[in-house]
Amino acid sequence: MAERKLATFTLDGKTVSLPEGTPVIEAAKQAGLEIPHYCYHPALGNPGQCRLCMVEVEGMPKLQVSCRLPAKDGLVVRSNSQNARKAQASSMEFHLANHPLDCPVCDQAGECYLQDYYMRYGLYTSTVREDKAHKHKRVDIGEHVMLDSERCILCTRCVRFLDQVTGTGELGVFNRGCKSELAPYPGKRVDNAYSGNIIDVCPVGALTDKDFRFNVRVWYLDRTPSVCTGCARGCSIEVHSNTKRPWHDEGRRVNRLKPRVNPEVNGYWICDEGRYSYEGVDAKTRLRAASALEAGAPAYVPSEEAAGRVGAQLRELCAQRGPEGLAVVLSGTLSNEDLFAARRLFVDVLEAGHVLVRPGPDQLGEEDRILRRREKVPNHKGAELLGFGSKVRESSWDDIRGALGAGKLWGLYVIDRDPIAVWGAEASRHLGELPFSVYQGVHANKFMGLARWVLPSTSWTEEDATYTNFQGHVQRARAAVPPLGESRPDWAVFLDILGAVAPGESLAAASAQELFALLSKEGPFAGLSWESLGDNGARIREAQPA
Amino acid sequence: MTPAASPAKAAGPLSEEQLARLKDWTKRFPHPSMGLLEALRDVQAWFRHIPLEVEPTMAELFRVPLHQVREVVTFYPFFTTRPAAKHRIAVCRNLSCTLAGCGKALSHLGERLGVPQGKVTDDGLFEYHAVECLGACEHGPALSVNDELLGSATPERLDQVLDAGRSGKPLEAPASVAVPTKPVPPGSVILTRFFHEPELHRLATYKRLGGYAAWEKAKGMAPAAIIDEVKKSNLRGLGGAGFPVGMKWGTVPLKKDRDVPHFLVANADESEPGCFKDRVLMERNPHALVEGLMIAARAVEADHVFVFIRGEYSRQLRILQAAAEEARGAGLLEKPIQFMRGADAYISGCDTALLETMEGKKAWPRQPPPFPTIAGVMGCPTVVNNVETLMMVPSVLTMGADSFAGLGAPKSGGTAVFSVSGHVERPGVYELPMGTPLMDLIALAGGVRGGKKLKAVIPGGTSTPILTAEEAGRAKMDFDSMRQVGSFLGAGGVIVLDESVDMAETLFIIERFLAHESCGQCTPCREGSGWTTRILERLLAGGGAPDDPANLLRIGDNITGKVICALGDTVGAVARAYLTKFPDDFKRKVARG
Repeated sequence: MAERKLATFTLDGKTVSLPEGTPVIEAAKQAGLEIPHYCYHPALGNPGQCRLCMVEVEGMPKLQVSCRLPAKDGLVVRSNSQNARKAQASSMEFHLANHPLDCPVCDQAGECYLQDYYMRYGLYTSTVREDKAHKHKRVDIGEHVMLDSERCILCTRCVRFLDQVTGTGELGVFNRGCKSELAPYPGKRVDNAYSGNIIDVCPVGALTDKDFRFNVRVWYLDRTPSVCTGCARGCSIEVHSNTKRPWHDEGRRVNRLKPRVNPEVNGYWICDEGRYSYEGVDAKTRLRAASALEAGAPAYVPSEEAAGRVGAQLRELCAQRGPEGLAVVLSGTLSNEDLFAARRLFVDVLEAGHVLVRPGPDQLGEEDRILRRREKVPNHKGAELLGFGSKVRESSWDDIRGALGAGKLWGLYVIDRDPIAVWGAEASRHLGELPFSVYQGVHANKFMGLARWVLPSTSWTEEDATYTNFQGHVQRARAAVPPLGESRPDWAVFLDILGAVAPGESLAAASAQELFALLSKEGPFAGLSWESLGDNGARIREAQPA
Repeated sequence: MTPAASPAKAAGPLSEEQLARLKDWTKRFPHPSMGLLEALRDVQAWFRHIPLEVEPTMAELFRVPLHQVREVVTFYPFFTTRPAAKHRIAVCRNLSCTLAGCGKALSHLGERLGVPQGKVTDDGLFEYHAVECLGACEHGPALSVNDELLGSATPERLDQVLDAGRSGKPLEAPASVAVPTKPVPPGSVILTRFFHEPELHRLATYKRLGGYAAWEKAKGMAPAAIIDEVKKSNLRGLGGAGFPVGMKWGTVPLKKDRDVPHFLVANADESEPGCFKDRVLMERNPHALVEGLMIAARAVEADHVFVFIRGEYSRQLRILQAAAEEARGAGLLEKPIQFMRGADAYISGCDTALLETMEGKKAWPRQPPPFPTIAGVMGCPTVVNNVETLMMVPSVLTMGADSFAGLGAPKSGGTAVFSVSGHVERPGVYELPMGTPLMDLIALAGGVRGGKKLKAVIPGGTSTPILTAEEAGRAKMDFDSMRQVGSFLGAGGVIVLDESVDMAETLFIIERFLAHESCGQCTPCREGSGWTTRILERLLAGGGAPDDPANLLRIGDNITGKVICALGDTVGAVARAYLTKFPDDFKRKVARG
């Protein structure tokens, strides 16, 4: 994009410099000022319909909508003058004239821009004596979305999202004048892969999330910046969680995910697959404790003790039968820190005969031109940058299956994946006969029942970590809730094992942050630091794998 | 979006012939979507509604999103989503027609048909509606059946309509009342000068009276020279805004600088309550429009020439088409003239909303910049001029700019054709030089009916602020003079109100109209027009509160100046005029309540 000339102008007494033509409403945001608005959305245009973002401009007789006012040198704009404030308040009054004011039973309450703006820019005494217009309520318009068209203020953001972003056009504004109504096209449902975003762009309670509504009041939620681990895009998200009031939402700690704006990665959106992926965090399938298979039945072992015992066995077996008989199945679901520790353990120290990280059929899915990537893991690029597949020779699922069938393996260490799902149930006999097998992961799976060791991992919402998306963008996910049961970050398990295998070879790190400091000392991650990643992450220098 | 139906073969209820006709509409105009409304009119005629199953076919044929088809169908009242009666009877309920007793016409229909408004009779033959302005105020209460104006809704006429509907014999649309009926000396009027000629609408007559001489002259002039002449003539836009015509034409980029198609559109979507002069002018003097279009097309280098006419003007459309055909046959057309009809939306008359309608969308006004002369139809430079404005253009060239300017007021050149209705002896159209005193115009229309006292005058259509009798006495009929008395010349739709008129009721009728016609795009107009109307309704029903007048004023002021288009501004501006000039009419209602 060609550099645009900077325009310097005054906004509420502040001097602002921005590329010429930037809408003043956007300039305000960047200057830390708020001009209230409904229809304007930086990614969906400025139709100028809500008439709320009114500002006074020196030399212009009429108030202007700041979403359609391009920044120009010398402009003197006031969003807080008496006239501007009065216009904003009157726009609020019109928006609320037919709004049902059912806030106590509306799930948007607490994050509703009618409520917020009324308090900040309205505060008039209502003079509406007339009956309010009645429209359709509780309309099920899609797998995830519920519409209440009485609450709708006709800002058309959702319509524009479906027209411009997904191109699916399920919604329209039908009829005209005060009978105008937002509705799906007859017979259509908003069931595209990005439908949840219309809930986010809706500034009011017209579109609510069927999955979330009535579960937790939004003011009880904690918000943690994080990264979606649903695919190689690694969208910036916020994890909304509630641990203080476990009686809400049936005790679920993570209640929803929301997109977080990151122009470098996902813009404003996330897909539905990612949005609803949080359900795994509190799912019944979560592993809570380590166990060892004893006399055909799993027996509880404290997690840290389990790691030590696994390490001791590994050392012994490698020495007795040689490292080429050990296969390790890693996963792109692991963070950079996990993979860094795994490389040290399995590649550098143990020199395992087979290592696999690359997503196979078990981790591939749909992709599109909007956000979704085919690899349904967040960090395969991180694995590549750490040398897996290049400096570290990778085996395939087939190679490992072959070695297993030929009796060449004595051990299989699997993280977060399910060989039975890939190979089929007929592999069970060979798997069950292995003298050494570990399943380390977040969720129960079929392989787990055959593994001699089961080690529980924390989910991505429970640990600090970094992930590298397919573009080489490194982002930090922050722990939003504590680890479930005795689950532990994978890197911590690997470091414990490493300590048991070869105490002298271990890594001088006791946290993800310290591991990141080590892994970013050289190679493609060089130059990045835990702090500099900030909320939106940073791009690696394209370089050879470390 | 992939609609389910394939346009390759007849889908749903459409026959092969019908599909072929729809396909024809996709090729008629520069872009397929421009044919959507015309094609929907066919569908409405075939099925008496727009069947849902047809919409995907329409979306694919006209290359628009499916929801846009639905939005159009539900936006324009001409289209219905459920089967309508064979004969849709419409009686105007707007101001002039209320003054003329539309209530009586509606109850007559109710008695005769035995169904309430909007309900189809059991035999499927009739339904009737009270509608907003039909553009035939001089016939008030105006009557139309299936978009054909049929004169005045007297009980006798309504019975004729019902008889004709039952027997299947179509009724003849009556000719418009036209004044003058005898020759007028040259120099004082322009467009109505030969109205006494019964065959004025024929090419031979028009030519005999000097028609197309201006076009011949224009053909020898450079576009810039034509524009200069129009600039010098002080010709202003006669559709309501009064924008200097030459100046507008001068903003069109030159073809040599930007080689894209140029559009010229005659705005014949006359819908302002109180205005019907364009209808009469097109009916009686269609060649003046054809000639004006040719000259204007040359001046602005137009490739496509359109007449966008309101749907109810069916008779006028036929006359214009015949005139264009005659002119084409005589080799007078440099560019073909294409016709497009509106579908009962007042807002389509707003130039940028008109562009949207032409493109096959809801009539949601655009927000310039860019202005239509830079980016109009399909993003191409487009000049939209009112019908009467374009009709004046030939006379600018034949009279000469100076004579034309000299005929009118200082900055409003020439004459204007005024529509006069309400409480006058002879409602109709009257042409007078710009700047003529308003009272002279009323006198020309026979003065206040029955010798009653004048209470007020609406000078330019119901969207213009009302004048008290005293203000009317001072008012002159040109753009700038009218501003001096606090109103607008608008489109020259004069409605005369005698002492019997209640201003709260009058304001209610106007606000109800605006709420009905509000497109719904911007919040203050969408919500404010409805709110204002509901307060007035309550006030009239005897439920007035003491602060209602002040609240109405406040709501109105909060709309004015903060909306996208002039319709919204009007909601507040008219409320202010009525409430401040006739406060007693409102106070009385409150006291009663």
